Amino acid sequence: MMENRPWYIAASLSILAWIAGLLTTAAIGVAAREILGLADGLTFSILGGVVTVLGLIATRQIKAVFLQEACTAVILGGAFAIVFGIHAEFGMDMAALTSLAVAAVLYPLVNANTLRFVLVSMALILTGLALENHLQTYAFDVIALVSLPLGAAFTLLPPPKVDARPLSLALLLATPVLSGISFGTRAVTQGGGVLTLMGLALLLGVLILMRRHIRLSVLIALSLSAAVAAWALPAGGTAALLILALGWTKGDRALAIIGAIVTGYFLTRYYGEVDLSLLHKSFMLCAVGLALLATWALTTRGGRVR
Amino acid sequence: MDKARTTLSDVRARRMKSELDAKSYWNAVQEARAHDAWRRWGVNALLALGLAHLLAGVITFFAANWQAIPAFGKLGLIGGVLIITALTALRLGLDRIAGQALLISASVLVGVWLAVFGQIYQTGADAYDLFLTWVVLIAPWVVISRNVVMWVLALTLAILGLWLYTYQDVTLTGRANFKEMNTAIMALQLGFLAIAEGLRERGEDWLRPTWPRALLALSVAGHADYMAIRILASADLGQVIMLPAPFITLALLTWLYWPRARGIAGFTVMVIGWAVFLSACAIRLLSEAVEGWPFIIALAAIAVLTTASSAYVLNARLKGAI
Repeated sequence: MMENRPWYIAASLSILAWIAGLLTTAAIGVAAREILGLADGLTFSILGGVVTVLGLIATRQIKAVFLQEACTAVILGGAFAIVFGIHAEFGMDMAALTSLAVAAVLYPLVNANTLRFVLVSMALILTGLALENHLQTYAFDVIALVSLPLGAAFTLLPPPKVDARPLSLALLLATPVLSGISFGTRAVTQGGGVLTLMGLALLLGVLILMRRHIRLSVLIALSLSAAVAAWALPAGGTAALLILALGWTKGDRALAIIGAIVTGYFLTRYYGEVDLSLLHKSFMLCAVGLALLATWALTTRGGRVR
Repeated sequence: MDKARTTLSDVRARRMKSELDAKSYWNAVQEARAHDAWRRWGVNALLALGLAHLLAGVITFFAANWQAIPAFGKLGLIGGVLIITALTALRLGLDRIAGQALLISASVLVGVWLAVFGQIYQTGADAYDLFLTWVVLIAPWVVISRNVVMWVLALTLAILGLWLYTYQDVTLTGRANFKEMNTAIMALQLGFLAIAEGLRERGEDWLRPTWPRALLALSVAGHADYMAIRILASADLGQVIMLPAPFITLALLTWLYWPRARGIAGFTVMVIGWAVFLSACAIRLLSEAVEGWPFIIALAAIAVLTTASSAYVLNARLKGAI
């Protein structure tokens, strides 16, 4: 099984299998279009549905890891075909609704967490694009207001019978990704007061969960740091800190590392784009650095970890 | 973290099997959490973040006042830090982590000093001069360091320098051929790889980590595949005469990593290198024979064939069949 292989072999086999699976799906699509003359979106969606079902059946029947992974990619290809067929026929709103339905139906049926993550991410991206048509720039705020608390809840609450990690990760990453990439230069300042307050409330809530394991003085110092960061950073940065805090609180190493990387990205971008002269930036960096080192000294009481 | 204790995955698995009710889930998560290790993680992260801020602040302060600092001051400042770092590294000894870390820092500072020198005096030197001079200057340290990070740094700089030379002096002025230069770079890397494998087999402990050799093998295979793709994508059929160069490189990589004792990482790189090479050849041949949608289907068939055979070979190797 995959778990017994070194990670680079498992990763290589997965990548090879996904290439094979996705290209097979693409070849089926091309053949259907050119040989059978199936050109309209609805037929393409139906074909996608058939491919998805076949992929689902195959993953349950086949034991070989490579073929299982390839079939997982075929399911994804089929799901893409369903959604993009609907998009071609009925537009973005229906495509977003379909992607949500496809993700909801396939999530418990498949076993691969990568596929689950991609399906939820696709649904979130298309929902974001559909909302943007109606709400313009406020679409980001709506997505963040819904996805952040849901993501935190799915991370902390007992999971149902199905692994909720891909769902919670996709929900938690939606805000930083949309804030950092999709919405361009608005990213640094976006996220109004409500979003900032919600991000801060979630962050403080997660910190309070750890009150039994942190001294009160450290908890106050961390809460004040969180408040300053939430005030200064865009919504994506607060979400990144929330991911980091969730990973730390739960003891989830992967989540903590993802949170640390995304937080690093937002901090770097913030210092790069903040409207200050280089000299003032240097004072600001030194001041924040000294404050963080003071918190570190307070936590360790002179360098010794308690 | 402590391996003997219940992990988060165990808690999750118990919850999936309904062995854990919703009420006791969070308590189980907290019991599984290695509190001391996470406290150290948090404290170290805080220290790293604080130091990074402070260091960035100091660098930004110098950047803000860069124009006001005289040329001698700029070079003296970096040179002073470089000398102190190198001397401290040698004083601490290169058999200690701190000594090696300081020697790596000193090697990086050599590059910074050269870049600042070039910026102040506008020497007119090309970018590859910087990288190649940098490698030559740190070469004695690389040799005595017996540290893989130093070797990776030196080789990266050498390859980068040679690539920039290939682009600037060879491709632009037409004094030599890109493919000849690429062949030389591949041969250089392959030579280092063979030496590294040989030294490791002789018991050089510092060469034991797999990642630097796998990285170098990846670079060799990447260069071979890139060269093959460039040759095969060219409209000039006369270029095919250079195709044996990447072929021989991959064959030598196969010879190097066929013995089991050299591990699976280099073997994996070699298999994927061949898969890309053979796919590129097959695609070129097909593009001559078919076009339009049958070409796309044939493309998919090639991809499925090469990926499936690569997976088969890797699995067979893991099972000990080859």
